Amino acid sequence: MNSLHVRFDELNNDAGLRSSWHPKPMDGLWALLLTGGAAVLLLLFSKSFGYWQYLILGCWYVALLISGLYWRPLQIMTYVVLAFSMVAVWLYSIGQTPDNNWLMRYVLQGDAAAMWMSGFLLLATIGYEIYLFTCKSSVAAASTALTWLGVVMGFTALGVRWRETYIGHPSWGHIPVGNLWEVMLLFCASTSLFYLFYESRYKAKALGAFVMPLVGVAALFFLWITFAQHMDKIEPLIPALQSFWMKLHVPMMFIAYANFTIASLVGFAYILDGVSQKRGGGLALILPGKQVMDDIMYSAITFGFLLFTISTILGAAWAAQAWGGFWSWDPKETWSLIVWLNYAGYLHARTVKGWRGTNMAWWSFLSLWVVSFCFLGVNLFLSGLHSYGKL
Amino acid sequence: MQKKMAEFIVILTSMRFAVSLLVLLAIASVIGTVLPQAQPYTDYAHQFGPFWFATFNSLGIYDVYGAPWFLTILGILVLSTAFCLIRNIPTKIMGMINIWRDYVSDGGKHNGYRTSLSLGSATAVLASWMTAAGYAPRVRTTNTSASLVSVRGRFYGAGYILTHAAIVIFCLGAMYNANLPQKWQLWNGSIVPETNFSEPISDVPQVSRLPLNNAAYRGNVTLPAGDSTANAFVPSGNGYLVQPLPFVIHLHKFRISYYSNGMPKDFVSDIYIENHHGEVLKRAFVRVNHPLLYRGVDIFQASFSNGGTLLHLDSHSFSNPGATPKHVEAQIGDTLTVHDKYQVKIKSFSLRNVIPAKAAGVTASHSSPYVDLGPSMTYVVSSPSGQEAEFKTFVSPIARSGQNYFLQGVRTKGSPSYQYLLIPVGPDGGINFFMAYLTQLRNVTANGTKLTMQVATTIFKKQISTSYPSIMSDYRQQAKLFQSVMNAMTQLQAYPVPFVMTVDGYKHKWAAGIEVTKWPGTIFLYIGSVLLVLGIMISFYMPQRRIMVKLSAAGEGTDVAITGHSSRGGSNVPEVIDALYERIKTESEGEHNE
Ligand code: HEM
Repeated sequence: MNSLHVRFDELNNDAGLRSSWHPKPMDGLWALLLTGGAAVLLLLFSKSFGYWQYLILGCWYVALLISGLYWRPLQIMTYVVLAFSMVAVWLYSIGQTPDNNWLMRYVLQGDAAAMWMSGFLLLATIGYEIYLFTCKSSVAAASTALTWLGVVMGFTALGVRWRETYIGHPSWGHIPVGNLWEVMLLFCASTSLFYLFYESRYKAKALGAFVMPLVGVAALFFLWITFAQHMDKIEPLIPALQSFWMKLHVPMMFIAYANFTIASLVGFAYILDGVSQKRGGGLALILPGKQVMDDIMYSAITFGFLLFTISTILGAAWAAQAWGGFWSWDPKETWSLIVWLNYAGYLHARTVKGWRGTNMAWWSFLSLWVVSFCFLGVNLFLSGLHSYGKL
Repeated sequence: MQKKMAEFIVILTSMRFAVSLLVLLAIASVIGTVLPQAQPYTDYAHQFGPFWFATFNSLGIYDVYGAPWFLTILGILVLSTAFCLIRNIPTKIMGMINIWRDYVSDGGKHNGYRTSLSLGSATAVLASWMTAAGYAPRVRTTNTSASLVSVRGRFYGAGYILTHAAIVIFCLGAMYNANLPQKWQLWNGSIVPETNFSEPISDVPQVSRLPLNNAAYRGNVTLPAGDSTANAFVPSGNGYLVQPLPFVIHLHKFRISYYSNGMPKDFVSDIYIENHHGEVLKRAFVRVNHPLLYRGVDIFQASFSNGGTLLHLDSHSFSNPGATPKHVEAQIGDTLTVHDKYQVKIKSFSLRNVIPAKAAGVTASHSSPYVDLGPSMTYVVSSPSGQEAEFKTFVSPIARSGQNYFLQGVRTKGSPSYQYLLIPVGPDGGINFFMAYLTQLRNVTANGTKLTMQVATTIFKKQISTSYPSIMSDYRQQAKLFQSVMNAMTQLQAYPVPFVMTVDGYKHKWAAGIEVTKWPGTIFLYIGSVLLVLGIMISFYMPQRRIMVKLSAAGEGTDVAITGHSSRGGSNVPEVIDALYERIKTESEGEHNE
């Protein structure tokens, strides 16, 4: 009889059924610091704020607050990133520059921090592969730590660069999501961050061996556009991009991309898991199990889909202001519609038809091509109104 | 008949049909991203050859997203969504209102169980176990039966309604904005696009004109500074339609501002909205990202171009440097014959030439590493023998180590960058000093005198005294000037044409490309967007899980039937049902054993 009681309690743990969330002291600090931060921003800038800036600040505040409460490691990361960026901003403000300060030159300036990010993420990728073959939990822990370092340096790079866009020519300043270099940086950092989230939620370290290689490839591409194409040069924004919409539209797009990417590579792991089980290989033993992978895929796709929808709508509203039309069937718009239709199809098949298993994993996996084409292919191969990130 | 209709609707609202349509739409959309849309038809004809050009044209490939078949797919998708919605709304709403309703269970393989517990105690224990599993039930009892129902995410059904209604509302709004009746008139020929782009607007025939109170439109107009318009042009197929506006737009001024590196920072059209009697109703600065909404019409800053800039040009002949320069007035795009049989085509004129100071060979100011070399004109010269070269003339002289120069770039066909000819300028800022010196040299050599260094310097000195007396006593300046003159003469030997054009003055004029739209359907787009996002949030984050237990007294004991349903996979509803059955079985056995 007692054993049955235990079972009921376990059933109760179903994620999303009833939250097992309890406040901790650090949550209070989090809420306090975020509120304080928002207040400081308001004090400093509210003179130049229009009604939209309040809205954007509000969105960021609520989103960060909730995410931090939901997943506490995010709080710590935010503190570290803020501390690093503020040190850099402070150093700039007292006249220190990469030319006269080695800490700035090698670590804290936007470019340098981005290089550190790439390095950490590439090492993490290697670490996860080693883990896959050795199954040593210390290796897994090290890989996770390296990924965290990469994420911290990535977001620090974005934060510092934001400040750097203003230095020397205040009218150039902009949130660093305006060219291919900046969005690749954002992509690497946010995909890794979301990967860490799923890893910790589902205790699924082996998935890093599937997700991180793509981040690694993105990091290599990022290094290439830095050193061969010099795309890290700071340039001002063309008139079409000077809009508050950019602060919402682009970051949201990249959170969506991050989730789609993760879902796709987890789909790949799912497929290999099946193959391995058939052949009696060892892979299935280290992977977290089909049920969990299925769940990660679904969670990532739904979250990505929600943000993708919002961000596309924001893009359309922006287009209505900048180009005089909500929808101009420009290649980027059209491909984002294709991405949207694709995932709409996936979600219908899953929730309405109840499809599960290997077929759906294939669907999720192959969607990566559609998403990548929307993200990069359109910029590289087609031209249109969205050609900001051209090589 | 009615049966056929019903069958049709079943197909139309089937999942398989909807997914096929989505896929079809996605594939069709790809076409337009691969082939550039709405290009001049001659380009397509050139690309595909006559047969395929005609075939593709009849398929509407040059404007896929406006092609009848594409719109038909969209239309069917909307119809399918609408019918699906109509069919499902009642059940969804009933599901939200009445939680006691029966439903199809996906809760497992059980068919019920008869327990020896009494109705009352069975109800009580099941209720407490459900609560322990996170499914606190609502209970309804009669003398002989009881129902326990737990519903989480009761309003899940609203997610479905909102998302699908959003799609329909969206498409209705977009359809309104797309002005379908007008599309129909185009199709049946009662409106015909005008294809002559150089015709004055008053000559455009009535069949190419749209009504003033047109329901929706998106047009554009190129407006030179100082001009007014009461019409916009709506691109249509191979030509355009004329859309009269309910007011007059007058472009007072157009301004571009720049960043220090020369990139444009802002495009501003300073416009007056006037009525037809010239009375100003409103003045506005229309900028990119900041349109003006006036009486239901949106006015956007879309582009800019040359609006009839007037250039005063001088052509100086090197073969006859003593002749007075030939003065001409020209506009951009004009072709002139200024020197014998050389054709000069004025290609463009730009107000600014910002380049890194290093590249210009001048020292940077501390405020910016860039310098603006000022306005320049480019022109293309075709020689009588058919050679072509492109030239770039800077209006104002540039300074380099203490000497001012007139700067003239030359680029022969195929070469990527300009070679610069640097002619030193005299006190008037022009090349007259240099030309006069050339003339003197020529006169002397024409007399048979051999051109030695001494002759050259003597003539130079004479030239200084007549046309540059201010540096008579400044020998360093003179030396510098002399060196520059000699360099220029060397450069001239490789110069491909025997004359140079200078810009004596200019009257610059912009034209603003203005876009005008009337889109009353837009409010539906916003409503649809909000509904869509709300619907998606509900669908994903408020999933429904129901568990229903029905108990009915059966003699001493009780019949128990447990059903369950969840809107989303990965839920534990089946396990909870299993566990509840398991639990009630052990409980009853326990009672027997006591
Ligand atoms: C019509 C609605 C729009 C849709 C569906 C849309 C879609 C997208 C998508 C899918 C991305 C992906 C990110 C990427 O590949 O970079 C993106 C990025 C971006 N969009 Fe939009 N967009 C729309 C309107 C606009 C407008 C009006 C602007 C500004 C004028 C804009 C500016 C940008 C920028 C700056 C990026 C990141 C640029 C980069 O690739 O470097 N978008 N958009």
